[in-house]
Amino acid sequence: MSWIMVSLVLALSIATVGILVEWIARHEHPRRLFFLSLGRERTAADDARARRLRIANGAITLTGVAIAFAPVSEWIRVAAVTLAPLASITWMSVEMVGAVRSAKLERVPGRYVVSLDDPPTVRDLVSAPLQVLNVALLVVPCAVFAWMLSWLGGRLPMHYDAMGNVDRYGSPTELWFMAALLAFDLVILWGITWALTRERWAMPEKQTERYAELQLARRRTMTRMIEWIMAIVNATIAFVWLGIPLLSLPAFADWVGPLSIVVVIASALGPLAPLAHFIPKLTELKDEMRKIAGTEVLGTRDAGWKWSGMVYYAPEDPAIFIPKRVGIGQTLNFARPAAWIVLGVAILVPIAISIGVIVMVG
Amino acid sequence: MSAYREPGTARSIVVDFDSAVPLYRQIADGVRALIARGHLAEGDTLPSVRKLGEMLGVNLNTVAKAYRLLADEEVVELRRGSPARVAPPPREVGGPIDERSTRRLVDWVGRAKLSGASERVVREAFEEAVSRFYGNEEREVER
Repeated sequence: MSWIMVSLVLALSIATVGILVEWIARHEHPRRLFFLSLGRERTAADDARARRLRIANGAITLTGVAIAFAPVSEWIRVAAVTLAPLASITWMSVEMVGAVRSAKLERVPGRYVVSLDDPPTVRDLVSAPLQVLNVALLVVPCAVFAWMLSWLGGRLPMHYDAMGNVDRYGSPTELWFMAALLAFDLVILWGITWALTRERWAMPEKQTERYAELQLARRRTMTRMIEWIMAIVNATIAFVWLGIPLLSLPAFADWVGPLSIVVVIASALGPLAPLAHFIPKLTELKDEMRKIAGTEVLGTRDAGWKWSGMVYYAPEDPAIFIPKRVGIGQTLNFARPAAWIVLGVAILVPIAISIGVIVMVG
Repeated sequence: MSAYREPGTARSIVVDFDSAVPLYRQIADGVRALIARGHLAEGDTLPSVRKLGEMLGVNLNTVAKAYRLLADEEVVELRRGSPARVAPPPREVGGPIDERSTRRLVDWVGRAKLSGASERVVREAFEEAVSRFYGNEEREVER
C-alpha cells in the first residue's frame, strides 16, 4: 500500500472523531448544550464552553491529520491516530461534565402512575427487517467463510503494518474470531433492547396516554438507533472478515489500499449516520415529555440522583436499568449489586476480546 | 403476541414518595380502588410481590404488607405457593356499610372540615367519589 494511501487512512480515522465532536459542539438549542438539557436558558458562558471545545477539537484534529501526512516514523503517526481522537473525546467529556454541573435540574417527580398491564416487551420495540438483517450479518458471513475455507490455502496474510506491508501470516481458521465479534455485537443489541424493557413504565397523571406514546416512541427510537449502528458495524466486520482471504489472492493484490480506505470510512462514519439521524429525534421526544410533565417522569426517586443527576444510587429502588436523567440512554442503579455485574461484564468482555485479538495477532 | 396494550390509565396505581401516607397504604388503596371499580374482577390474579415491587419501585416487603392488609379486609385471597387473587364479592349486596368503612368515612369528613373545606365542597367531593365507583353501574342499569 502506498504511503499516501496509509496517510489517508490515518487522517480519516482522526477526522471522523473530530467531525463527531464538532457536530455535538455545534448543536444549537435555546435550552440545551451538547444535546444535554440545561433546565434553564442557554447563556453566554455555555456558548463560550461550546466555542472552547470547537477550538480545542479543531486544533487537536488538524494536528493529528498533519502528523498523519508528516514524514515522521510510523510509530509517531500511529500514536497520533490513537491520541488525537482520545484527546478530543476527553476534552468533550470534561466540557459535558461542566455543562451538567451548571445545569438547573428540576426535582424528579416522586408521584407517578404505573399501569398494572404489562409494559412494552422486546417484540414491541424491535424492527423485524432490521433484526433479520442483523442475524443475517452473522449467519451469511459464517456460511460464506465456511465455504471459502474449502478452497483457501493454509496460509494467509493476517496483519499489515502501518505501511500496508504484510507482517504476519497465519491459518485461515484464525479468522473465526470475527464470527465471535459479530455474535458479541448481536448479544449487545439484544441486551440493550431487553434492558430498555426493564425501565419503569411510569407516567404522569396528566396526559398519561400521550406520555405513554412518547415513552414507547423513545424506546423504539433507541432500539432502532442501536439496530442500525450494529448492522453497519457488523457489515463492516463481515466485509473485513471475508475481504482478508480474498485480498490474499494475486488478482486482488492492488485492492488492499483502496479497500482499506473504504473500510475506515465505513467503520468510522457509518455508525455516526444513525447517531446523527436518531439523536435529534430522541431529544425532540424528551422535550415534549418535559413539556407535558414539567420535567421527565423517570419513575425514580429524586434523592437517588447524585452528582448533578449523573449517577443514580437508590438502595430502596429494586430497578437496575434506569433512563438517563442527563442526556440520552440508560444508566444503572448502582445501589444494586446486579448493576455492578452488568457494568463489569460491559467493561471486561470488550477488554477480553481486545486482549484475545492482540495475543492471537502476536 | 405481546401482552402490551395501548396506554391507558384504567388499570393503574399512583404512588407518591413525597406523601405522608405510607407506601403500603397507597398500594393497598390503589389495588382496592381497581377492584371496587371493576378493573380487577373476582379470581383475577394480582402481580407477584416481586413484580409489583419492581413495577412501582418499592421494596418487596412493602408490597407484601399491602397484600396482607387487603387479605385482612377479605378483598384479596392469599394462598401459599399461588399468586394473590381477588376475593369473591360479599354475598349480601345492598347491606349496611361495614364498621371500618364507616369509621373511615367519618374520619375523612372530619379531616376535610379541619382542612377548612365547606360543607358544600365536602358533599361535592363525596358525590364525585361515589360516582367514580358507582357511576358505570348506574349507567348500565339505566340502559
